[in-house]
Amino acid sequence: MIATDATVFPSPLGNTSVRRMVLEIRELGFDSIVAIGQTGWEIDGFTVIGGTLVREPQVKAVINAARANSSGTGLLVVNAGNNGFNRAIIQIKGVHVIRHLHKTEKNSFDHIIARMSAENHVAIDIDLRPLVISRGIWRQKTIQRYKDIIGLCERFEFPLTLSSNARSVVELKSVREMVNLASLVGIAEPDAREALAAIRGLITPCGPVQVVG
Amino acid sequence: MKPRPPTMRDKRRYVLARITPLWVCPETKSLYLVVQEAITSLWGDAMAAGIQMAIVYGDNEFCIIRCRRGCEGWLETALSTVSCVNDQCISLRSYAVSGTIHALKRRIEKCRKGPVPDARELIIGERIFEAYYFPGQKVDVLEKGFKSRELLFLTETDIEEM
Repeated sequence: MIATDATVFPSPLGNTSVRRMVLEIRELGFDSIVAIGQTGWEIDGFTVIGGTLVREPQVKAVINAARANSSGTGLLVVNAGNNGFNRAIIQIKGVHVIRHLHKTEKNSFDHIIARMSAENHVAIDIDLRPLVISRGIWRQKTIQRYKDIIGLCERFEFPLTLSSNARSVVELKSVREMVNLASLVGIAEPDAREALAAIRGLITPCGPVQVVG
Repeated sequence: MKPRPPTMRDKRRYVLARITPLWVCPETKSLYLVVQEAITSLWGDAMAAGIQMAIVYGDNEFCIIRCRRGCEGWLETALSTVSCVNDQCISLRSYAVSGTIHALKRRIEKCRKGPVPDARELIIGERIFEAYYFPGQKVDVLEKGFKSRELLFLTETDIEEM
């Protein structure tokens, strides 16, 4: 996978069918998407990865979702909460991505959680939708928060993902647009492209070294 | 005022942007206003003055936006933050950058999808929609009516399965 949009919401969560999303996003330079509420499938080299989103800030809900996704074919995405919640979910096996950190309190993602995230190989999602939709102080706060996360990422090297969070064809972004928007929060182009390709490593993480022969 | 000789003029760059969805057909003035607002809110007044943005061409599918040379990156980023024009959802995706309008117009001729097709009536359940069929099995479906018209982006396969 060269470039993956880490979260899109096809119908019934959005107004676009998953087939249409595939047609459109392929033209925009992606070769895979994570479709929330869909099952995974592949067509002509394009991969749709099924995604499960846990919105409730309850550890029990996350554990249940991780159990349901025990086959590991789908991506488990969890909305961030307060510091204690984030610290708990990062240790649950099967959680792949934590998103919406910009909506939480400032102390909800500190250097300890950043280190745990790197150790457990849990990615932090940079949702680009607030940079497009919001204006003024709200966008400034989001950029500030993302820059804070990027600073921790440079230090602890936890995986990052980039998502358009699109619910419609109109909200989809091309690879070039995503790289441009990521530059607003201090992500350089090589790092942005690495973040777009990070999903593969989350689903099939590298195992321990095996001696062959 | 007498125009400056070519060597003393500011160097320009032209950005070709694709308008999605095709049937919105925004006016050039509306496009100018939303792009200017996007640039100003993202980069501030001082930078917006430096970019010297202007819409030099626009049709239903493409528009060509002028800026000062060296500012095209900022302009492209600002274009990504345009989300609606006249209360209709829209996206402006930067497609190519060139030093001449002529080169971009040649590019437009190569990759134009064609005119907006006529709307066909489509009935889903008890509701009546207008369906625009585009090449590549894409169908944009817009509910008929005056208030809260539902908009769906589907494929021909999706409609057959309904």
